[in-house]
Amino acid sequence: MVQFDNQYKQVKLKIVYYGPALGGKTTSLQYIHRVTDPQRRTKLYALNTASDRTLFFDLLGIDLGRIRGYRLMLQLYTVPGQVQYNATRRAVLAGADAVVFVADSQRSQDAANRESFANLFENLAANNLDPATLPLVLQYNKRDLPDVLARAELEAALNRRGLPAFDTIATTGEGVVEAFAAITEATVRSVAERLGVASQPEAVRRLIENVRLAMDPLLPKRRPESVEAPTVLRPAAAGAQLGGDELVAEAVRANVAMTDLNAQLDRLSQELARRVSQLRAVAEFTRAVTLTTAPEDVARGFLERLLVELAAPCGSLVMLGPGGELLEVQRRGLAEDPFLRVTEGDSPVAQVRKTRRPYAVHLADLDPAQIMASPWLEEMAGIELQSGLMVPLVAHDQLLGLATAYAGAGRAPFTEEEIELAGVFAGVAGTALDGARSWRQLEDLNRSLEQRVQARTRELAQALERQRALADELEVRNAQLEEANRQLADLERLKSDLLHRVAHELNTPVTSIQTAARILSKYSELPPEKAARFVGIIQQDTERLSGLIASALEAAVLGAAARVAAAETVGIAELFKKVLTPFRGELSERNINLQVKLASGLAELRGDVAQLEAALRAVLKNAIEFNRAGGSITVTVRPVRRGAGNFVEIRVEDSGVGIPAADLPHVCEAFWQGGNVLTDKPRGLGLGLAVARRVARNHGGDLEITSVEGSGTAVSLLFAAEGGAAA
Amino acid sequence: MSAHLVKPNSEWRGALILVADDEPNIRETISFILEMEGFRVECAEHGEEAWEKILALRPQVALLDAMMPRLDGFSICRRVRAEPATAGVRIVMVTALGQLADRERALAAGADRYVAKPFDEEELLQVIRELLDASPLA
Repeated sequence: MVQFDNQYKQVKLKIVYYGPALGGKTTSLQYIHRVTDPQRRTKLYALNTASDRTLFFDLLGIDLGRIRGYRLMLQLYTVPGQVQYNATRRAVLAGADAVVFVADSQRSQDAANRESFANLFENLAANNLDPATLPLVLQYNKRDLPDVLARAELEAALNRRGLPAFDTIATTGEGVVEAFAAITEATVRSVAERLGVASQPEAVRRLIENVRLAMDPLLPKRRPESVEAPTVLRPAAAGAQLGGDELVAEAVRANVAMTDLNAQLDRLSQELARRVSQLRAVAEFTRAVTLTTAPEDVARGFLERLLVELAAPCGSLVMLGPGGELLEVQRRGLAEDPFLRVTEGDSPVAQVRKTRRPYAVHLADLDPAQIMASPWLEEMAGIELQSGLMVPLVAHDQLLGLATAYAGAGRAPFTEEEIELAGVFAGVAGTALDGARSWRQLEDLNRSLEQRVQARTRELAQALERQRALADELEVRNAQLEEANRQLADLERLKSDLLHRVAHELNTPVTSIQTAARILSKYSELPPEKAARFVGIIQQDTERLSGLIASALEAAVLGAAARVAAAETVGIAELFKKVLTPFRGELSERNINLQVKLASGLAELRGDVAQLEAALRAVLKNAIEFNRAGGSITVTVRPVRRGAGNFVEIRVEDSGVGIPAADLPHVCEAFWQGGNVLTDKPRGLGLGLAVARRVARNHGGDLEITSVEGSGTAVSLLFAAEGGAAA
Repeated sequence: MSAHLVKPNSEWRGALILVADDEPNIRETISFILEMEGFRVECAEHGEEAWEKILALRPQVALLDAMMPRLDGFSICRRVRAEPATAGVRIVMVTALGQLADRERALAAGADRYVAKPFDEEELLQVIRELLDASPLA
């Protein structure tokens, strides 16, 4: 009798393991319990009598999955085999949807088998169950023991109807699952017929398949923690003690109900635990995405989480663009997402967009024709996907995106709970995405603001830098201007000094001449020797004046001459004789000793004779004028080398006052004279050394000067010894 | 020092004039002319000698060349004015510089008169006479 439970949308199918005492019923159930996925079964309950520990019955629930929205739950019962417990047996058998008869193959049990089998039919009849339509399979158990009945003997004794029969060894589990699968299949088929889903053979086949999937002979080894001892329940009714049949039946019914309630309670608490763990997953996910600020990370984290929670190997995430277009964000384990192939009509995309509700499909639930009619379902089937789910990502009533998850035939279809959970995840993800996007916008805004501030700061810094550079340049210009001013002032001073000197040099002889001439004309009665003296003064200063004028003219001419006018050969001795003659008087007057040392073999110079004379005169003039009385002058003429060049050197060394080191660099400048313009008696116009250097340079050489203040000066005139520099 | 009296020309005679110039020809010609005019003349070849002689001899008039070795005319001038014993000495700055600025500079240093080289001897004598006329009686 199929029990519908509309509140929980459950269909309970009752399968009773029947047979003689100690035949292997409980052992079979224990084996099934051991190898069944704990997620899909209840505990194994054992209801014993209080006094003698005799088994009343066992109960094991197995979840077969859904059909037409109803969860199919198998309830496996055993009955006590002892003869005296017939009332219990009959009570347990009440409402059974199928029976597995477990026969003991031992020859000694032949009679017990027959008796129990007959008893089964009696009790079926007592419970108004039709043996002709009730699914029934046989287990010939204990096939491993010695002295068992041959299969044919058992068949002859128990199976004249040709029911499915299985050789089993319940202690090792051999054949037990096969027998169970057979009875389940038969039960489901008969139920499907009654539920009107028999036209969906795929759905039925899938249910059966689920049974096999839930069974794994290696499970106890793989998951030893899943092996549980039977949960022993105490009978609820004392009336279970032997008494009237009615009383016993009542007690069994009460206990069956209680055990069933217990199982339900267990299931509910299991479900509660599952819900709690789901809630925890949601909470964890919520926390994780709340801490994630990058929308990409939220999206990635969401899809990963969704696939993990759903135990789905593949899926994808798409976001809705501004124009409602789908933008793929992520895809896992898929070349192309089947649900996203079509977005119009009654496609999942269109449905989810419209309803904002999850969409789930399980191909096994559908007819091939239905699958063929939908490109997305056909595509799923093409890549061997069985279950598909699409959930909307919604935030503030706004559809942000869609997430899909798929699983193949290796996985049960997505349960309502799972779909609901996926929806919750999507909701959390949608809200988080929305937040992350707002955050990103805020960040972008912030960043652009920062960038603008940075750019502005850079501009300001650059402007400041430019200003600084300008200020620096201004300072440099200022310094240059100051320097130029200083030079100008120097020049002014130089000019003024020069004017003083020139005025002095010219006016002094003029004054003497003029005054002497006035005396001569005014005092006619002057004695002749006095008159001669004043005439001498006039002559002397006239000569001085013409000398000055000549040297100024010479300087002017030489200063303009950048090159040698005429190259002639001149004897050195002859040159010296000519240049020294005008100085003889002064030399002897001041008792200055002059010596000329001419290197042997050096007799001639080649160059512009007038220039050479002027240069030599200028140098000698300085040596004499700045010498002390009784001093000496040494002139050396010799060939020298300077770097790679050969020169003739005329070196004039004096024992005079010398030149301060600070003045040394200036002595060759035109019009330069050392010392105080007012107290240091100027001699000439300060052109001498400038002229001499110019001449030396005109002849491919230079002027070198060294001096020690207070002890003398040495001036070297160098003339290039090329060509005519005689050897 | 009680009264300023204009002295007769005869009193110029015998007045002591210092001629300070490093140019011997100038010293010689000027001292000749001054002596011919009846003045007593002392010469100095450089600035320090000039200052020493002014201090020691206190001439009525000192003719100072602006450009002289050791001590220039302007400096002597300032010293003469700063020293009470010599403050009354009349100073004629004689210079070959010949610029207006030099004249200003000479007067600022305390010179009484300024004569530029080359000068007319009559012009120089006139300046000396004027200074002697204005001098207080000793």
